[in-house]
Amino acid sequence: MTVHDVIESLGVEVAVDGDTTRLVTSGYACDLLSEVIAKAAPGSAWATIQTHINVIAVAAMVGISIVIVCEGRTCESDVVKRAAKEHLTILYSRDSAYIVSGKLYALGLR
Amino acid sequence: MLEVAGDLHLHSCLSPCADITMLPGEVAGRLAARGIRVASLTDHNAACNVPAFQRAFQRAGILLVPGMEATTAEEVHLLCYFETMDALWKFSRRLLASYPRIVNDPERFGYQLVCNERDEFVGQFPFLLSMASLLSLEELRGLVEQLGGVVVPSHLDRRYGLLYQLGMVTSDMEFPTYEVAHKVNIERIAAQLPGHPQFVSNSDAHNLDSISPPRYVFEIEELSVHEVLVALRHENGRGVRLL
Repeated sequence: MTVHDVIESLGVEVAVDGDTTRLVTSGYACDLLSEVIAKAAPGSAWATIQTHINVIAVAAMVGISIVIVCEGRTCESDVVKRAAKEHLTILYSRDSAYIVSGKLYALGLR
Repeated sequence: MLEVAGDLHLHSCLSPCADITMLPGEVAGRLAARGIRVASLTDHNAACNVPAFQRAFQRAGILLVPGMEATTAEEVHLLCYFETMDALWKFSRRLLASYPRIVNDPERFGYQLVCNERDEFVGQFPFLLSMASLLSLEELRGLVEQLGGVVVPSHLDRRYGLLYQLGMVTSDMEFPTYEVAHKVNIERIAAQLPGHPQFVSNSDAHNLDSISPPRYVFEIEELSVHEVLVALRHENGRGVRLL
């Protein structure tokens, strides 16, 4: 499954396109960035409510394929710019991280 | 240079997680007995008890640095220090304006008691103080610095610390001074930080028995709040020395 496929299936707002040809191989949900660094797998779709600029740095470090910002939260322009520079896809969802995780799971991401 | 023992992270009975015996006279007595000469009351997100502590500290010959431990939107704890009470009040009002008003249930979260300088309880703070403010780390830091204050990120080596919540410190967000809960962690923490910061380790006392002997001294020209803030900014040859 690619980033493009996930965007189509979830039907959420795209804040940053990024590289939509990247493969998405798993999912992860967490707001503690130190935990994400330690536990998230490369290729993950990551659901979080954190919008600090370090989200982008952590995603790049881990090799996250998509960041899904939940609960209707949005990122500041500097965060969006940094994500675009990293070719990282950022999506905005009105759902909670729990619902987003369920949807990702239903898509077959484990 | 003067060498003055400091403890810039203490909670009073106002913090819901602190013991109700954390009263001005009691705390001042313990600090004086430990040889601490510069101290700061840093309750979570409120400063109501600072004036009472300032008077009690003064009687015990301890200099009070106006301060607070603020919680950013990312749930990072930041120690915020100011040169004057006026600046602390301004900060306190701005923080409260950006704060979710959840009425505290003392039986669940703990009592948030306002006290006077005679160690008497005179009221309760109505809104739960352990919530995160709506100000981001950058906004909160900007506000403190605009008011002439200094930010020291709290206990980098444990929960609610900057590294724990946000995973890393990038070179565009470095601080001159960081706090660690335990001095043994400094080498490991320093390796994860940009630049060459200095470290303090305070008691973060939530009860009287946790008020510890001095862990560091300020190297300053004279005993004043201004000099302490310069030392925390690590400027003009002022700084801290770990013991």
